[in-house]
Formats: sequence, structure tokens, C-alpha cells
Amino acid sequence: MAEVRVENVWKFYREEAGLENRVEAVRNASFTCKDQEFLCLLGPSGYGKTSTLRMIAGLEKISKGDIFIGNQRVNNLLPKDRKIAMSFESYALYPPLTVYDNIAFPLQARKYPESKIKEKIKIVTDLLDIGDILSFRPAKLSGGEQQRVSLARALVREDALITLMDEPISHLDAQLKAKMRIDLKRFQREKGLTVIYVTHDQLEALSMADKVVVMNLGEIQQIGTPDELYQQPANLFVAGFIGEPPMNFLPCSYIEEGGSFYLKFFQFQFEVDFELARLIQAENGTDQKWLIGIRPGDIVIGREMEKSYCLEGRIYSIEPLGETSIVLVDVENQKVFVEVPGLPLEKEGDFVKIYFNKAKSHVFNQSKGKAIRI
Amino acid sequence: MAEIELRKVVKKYGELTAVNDLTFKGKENELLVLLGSPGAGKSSTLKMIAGVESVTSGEVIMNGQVINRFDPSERDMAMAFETYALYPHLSVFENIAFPLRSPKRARQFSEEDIKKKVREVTEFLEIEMLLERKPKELSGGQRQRVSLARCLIRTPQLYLFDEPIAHLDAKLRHRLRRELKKWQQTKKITTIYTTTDYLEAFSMGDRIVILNLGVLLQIGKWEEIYNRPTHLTIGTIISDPHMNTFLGEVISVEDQISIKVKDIVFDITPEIQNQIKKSSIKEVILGIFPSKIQAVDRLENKNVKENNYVEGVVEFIESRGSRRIVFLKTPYSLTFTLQLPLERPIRIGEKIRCLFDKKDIQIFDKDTKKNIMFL
Repeated sequence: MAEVRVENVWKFYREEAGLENRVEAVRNASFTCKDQEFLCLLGPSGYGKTSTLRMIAGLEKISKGDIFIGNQRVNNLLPKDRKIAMSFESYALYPPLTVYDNIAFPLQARKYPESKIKEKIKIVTDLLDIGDILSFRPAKLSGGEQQRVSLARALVREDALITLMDEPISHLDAQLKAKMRIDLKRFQREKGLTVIYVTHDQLEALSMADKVVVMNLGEIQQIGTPDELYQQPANLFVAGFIGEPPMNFLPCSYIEEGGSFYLKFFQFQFEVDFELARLIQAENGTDQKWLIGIRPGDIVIGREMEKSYCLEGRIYSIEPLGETSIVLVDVENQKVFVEVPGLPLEKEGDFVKIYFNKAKSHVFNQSKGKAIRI
Repeated sequence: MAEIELRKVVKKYGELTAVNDLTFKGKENELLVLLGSPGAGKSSTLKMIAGVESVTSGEVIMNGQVINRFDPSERDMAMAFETYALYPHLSVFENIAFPLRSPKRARQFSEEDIKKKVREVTEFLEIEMLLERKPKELSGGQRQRVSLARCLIRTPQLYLFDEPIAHLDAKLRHRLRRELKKWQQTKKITTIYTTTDYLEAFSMGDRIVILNLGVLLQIGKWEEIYNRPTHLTIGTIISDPHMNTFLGEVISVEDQISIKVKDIVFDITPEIQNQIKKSSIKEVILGIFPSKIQAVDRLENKNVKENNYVEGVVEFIESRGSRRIVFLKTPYSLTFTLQLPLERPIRIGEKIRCLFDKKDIQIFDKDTKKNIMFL
């Protein structure tokens, strides 16, 4: 196991097209995955996560910057010399080999005794629930099964310094995915693996990672623990990407009136504290557009709280999800998500007042996309 | 518009029984969800209703008429397959417009009408920019929406949707589960919908059929299933993380029946007590959903042993955004999970005292795995 450091790394494609026209898949990425840490690279598909992972693995050349594994700079090391185990979204299994032999391959290549191999394969195939397909060839397997075989082949390698996973459970059905999230995380803890894990699924990242690196358009948006990302998103992208149902954004203008300061959303005025007003003023408050961000779980229906703001609207839909329900309230033609425990007393079509806590709301400068925080 | 009924339907593929003795009714204008793991028999059921698979035995009945021998084209149903089944040589536009151009409906729709309808449905599904493309130029999620659009453009007697939004990204999937339901309610078309995702089932289904290994385990509104699952397996299907389960023995003290798990005694409701008395079962499985377990504040901590309270040490913490899933271990190595709001501070190694309220405890027969209330 070892620490991985990515320092000011860039990845260009089509470099020959010149500075203007090259594709910058990864832009100046820096982060550290500590020894035995579970780090997730999270972001929408096609925005630099996989390129980053492939540069760590040595499958892509690093255009600029450095990558260290342990204390060794690995830029010029071949993949096989980096002591890395990797599972791919596209499986990359050997078609002529059985599932067993596919998983055994990296161990056989390292001359493990057959009894040891058997024992290790038993552990990972039990974990991944694929013990009953060991004699099959990849062509006979479903996508979800192939994916788990690919994952097993990575996990069986305990000698690897780091384990890289690219969307390893994306093709599994909902229940299996939920089970795998927990089992994988447990396995990583027990074995003390250092894992870098690529996913586009925010729930996977939140539930498994010790640390999350959020990427969009080739750039790192924020690095933090799941709680930090959820409670203090640095910008609009992170705020909107993390959390389900998503954070609500109310477009506001900033006004000052009789010594008080307000963010105004249609006829609704939200008074802001002096400290926050000062920060808004520092960014030319009245000329800018502002967004108030509020999480669905921080809004209540029909019950006023201390220090809360109020909105009025009509219930568009109610979605029961077991222990909670998602209520969509139409406010000035904008849909506001509200998450309530159990079922709401109100019905679809009812007019309601909804309240949210001042302290729980986030403020963003819309054009810069940046969060304003005291 | 239509009512659809299955009576004792069986589907066998050689030796394998995919659907076993399945009986249920989809009421007029209802959205009925078939929920279960892969291999539960959901797709086979849908295909038998559509007529693209034969029925081994039993009857498929629509509006009172047995339709086993009807050709798919005579059934007036629209089906979206999980495997998409698009025409590779046709553009997205032509794939979607195809049902409107079928010989039966020829000249019923003008080219203008067709364009308008395709626009409406493709904007709804966010694929209006793909109309000129061929299926092979599309991602899986895009193909899935084209297949769905080809259904929605029609107003048949019955919609059959086989995991229609499974391959879409989370944001779009959550929007569509809401909007598809609205669409179905507005058009008033009876719909059978399959999924492996219980949240989708709860959110969309007027009623839910839970299938497992080809057998119907329970049918009802989501509240009924959630409050009283008939079978232990349902606890793994409709909860993430799974329902907590503990092996326990029935004990009786002065006519009061309780369940003992290791050294912890759980009181149970009078109705369950009665049921246990009647059945004379000795060994049971106690089940409780993670979301129902209450973490009790440390201030109330007492050293005396109290029924229904369990103390555990935090082993793992999993973030879910607004809440956390906490994995606990008790002195006798029982493990269970519960949910805590983000606001409550917690750390690994901490001791938590938990209340298993008797109204939230389910008791299952250890051998048959059936809920004792349904014996």
C-alpha cells in the first residue's frame, strides 16, 4: 500500500493541433490519496476522471506534471512496474479463459502456488457473489457478471500498492449495487487497500469514499470528505451535483433598503445578515445575479420555524419513497423540491407555505458560480 | 382504459420455471409495478402479456376476454423493451413515428400530426436533438428513451414498460419517474411497469407486485408492503440497506410472549403475540428496517437492562448526503444498521443505545421465512 500524489497534471489530446485547438482533458489536477484511503473521482461522464485514472495506471502518457506512488515518481514507469491493480468499466477479460482463470491470471503470472490462488479466489468470488460462474467463459456472462469478474481480478491482488477502479459496479442492478457498495468498502477497510475509484454516481462516492475529488470539464471543482461536499459546496456545480433530490436554486437580486439588506426572489424578500451583505457588496452586489441554494431536506411545509424564510406555492407532485416523500412545489413557475418524513398531510394541487432556515441556506454568485460564505 | 388479469400463469423454458402460478389483476387506469431482482420473472411476465412469448399454462385476460392465442398485433398494447429493439436502418425520427405509419393506422395521421407528436414526446424525453441519428450512433440511455418514445407516441389499451429508465443517469431518471407517472395519469392508460429499484416502485406504483424467483410474494400499495412485508425476502428488496434480521427464540413469561435474541428481550405487539400462540412456533427471525431504529440520547442511558433496547459500537459510517448509515456491533456480535441525520455527530468506536419499538418489529417464521401475521 502506498500514498499516491498527483501534482499539477495535465492531459492534452490532439497536441499537434496547436495550443488553441488541443483538447485539454485534464487541467492542472493536484490531489493526494493517502495510504489506505478510499478516494473517489466523481463527475459527469467524459470530463477527465478516466483520463486521470489511466495516467496513474500508466496507460496514458502524462502531458505535463508529475505522479508519485509512494515516494517514487512514476511518470516514466511502465504500467507493469507500477504495482497497480485495476478494474475497467469495459471489463477487459480474456475471452478464451474461464472466469476462474481470468481471476487467477495475475496471481499465476506472479507464480503463486495453486492452493494459495484457490484460497484467494474463494475470498473475492464469495465477496462478489460470483462463486457459481467460475467455469464459464466471459461470452456467456451478463454485463454485470463480467464487471464483477473484472473487479475480482483487481481485488485478488493484495500485493498491489494501489487499486484503481473505473465505474466497477455501474452495470449492476439496484439491489446488487447497494450490497456491493457496502461489501467493497468493508473489504477495502479490512485489507487496508489504497483505492482510487472513478464514478459518475454521487451516492456511490458519498457512501464509499473517505475523500472525494469532484471533477467537471477537466478541472477539479472541490476536494473534501462527503460531509464537507454536502454541507459546504464550494460552487454551483458541486452544490447541484451532490445530493438527491438536488439542491434548489432561487434566482435573486440584491437590494438595500432602510439599512437592511435583502435577496429578492419575485415578491419574496429574504433579509440577510450584515456579514453576508458585506461579502455580497464586495462583489458589486446590486449589479450581480445571486442564487439562494437550499437542500430539499432543509425545507418544511406549513410549519414556521425560527429565523426562517417563507415561500408560497402549489403542490405539483408527491412521490412516496418509504421513510420520506419528495414533494415538488411550484413557486412562481419554478419547481422547489421538499423532502419530508413519511407522507405529507397535503395533497397534489394544494396551496402551501413552505419555510426554510436562514442558517441552512447557501448563497452563490451566479455568474462566477462561486459560493459566498462567511 | 383496459383491465388486465393473469390467472395461474406459468412460464417454462425447458426445465426452468421462470414464472410460477402467477395471479394478479391490473385495474383500469392503474400503474402496476412488478418489483424484483433480475431473474424474478418480471420480463417473462410482460412478454406473455404482450404476446411475444407463449404462456405455458394459465390465462391472460384483457377486459374479460382470454387473449392467450391473440397475435401481439391484435392486443393493442405498446411495449418498451429493456433491450430497446429499434430498427437499425431507420433514423430516430422514423423509429418513433413507425407505429403511426403502420398499415392499420395509415392515413389516420397526416405528416404534420406525426411531426407534432414526435416533437412532443422527444422533448419530454430530452432526445429532440437526436432525430436524424441512427440507433447505432446512440448511447444505451438514448436508445432506451427512443424505445420509450415509440410507446408513448401511441394511445394503446395497455402500456408495458420493461425497466424503461434503468440505463439513464440519476438526475434524468428521477425526473422521468415523476413525469412518466404524470403522463400515464393524464392519458389514463393502464400500465404494467417493471423495475429492480424499490424507490422507483414506491414513487410510481399505484400498487406493487413483488416477485421473487417467479413467484408472487406480495401485492399491495407501498404502505401495506412497507408496514407488513409478507416474507423475509421482501426486507432485502424494499430497503437499502437491507432490513436488519436476528435469529431469536420465543419465550413466555406470565402469559406475555416475547422474543429473546442472545441476551436481549424484545416485547412485541399483542396481535403478533396472539399469532405466535396460535402457531406454536419456537424459533423466529426478528426483522426491523434500519430507518425505524431510534438512536436514544446518551442522557437517557441507564445501566439496567431494558427490553427492546440494544447497545452497539459504531463499526462503519456511510454518508448518504442528508443522512448517515451507521453499522453497529453488539457484545454478542450481532450486527445491524440504522440511519442518523447528518446533524447528529458520530464517530467510529462510539457506543449507541438503540430502541427497537415493538410497533416496528416484524416477526418471521424461521423455516418458511413467512411473516407470522400471514401464516
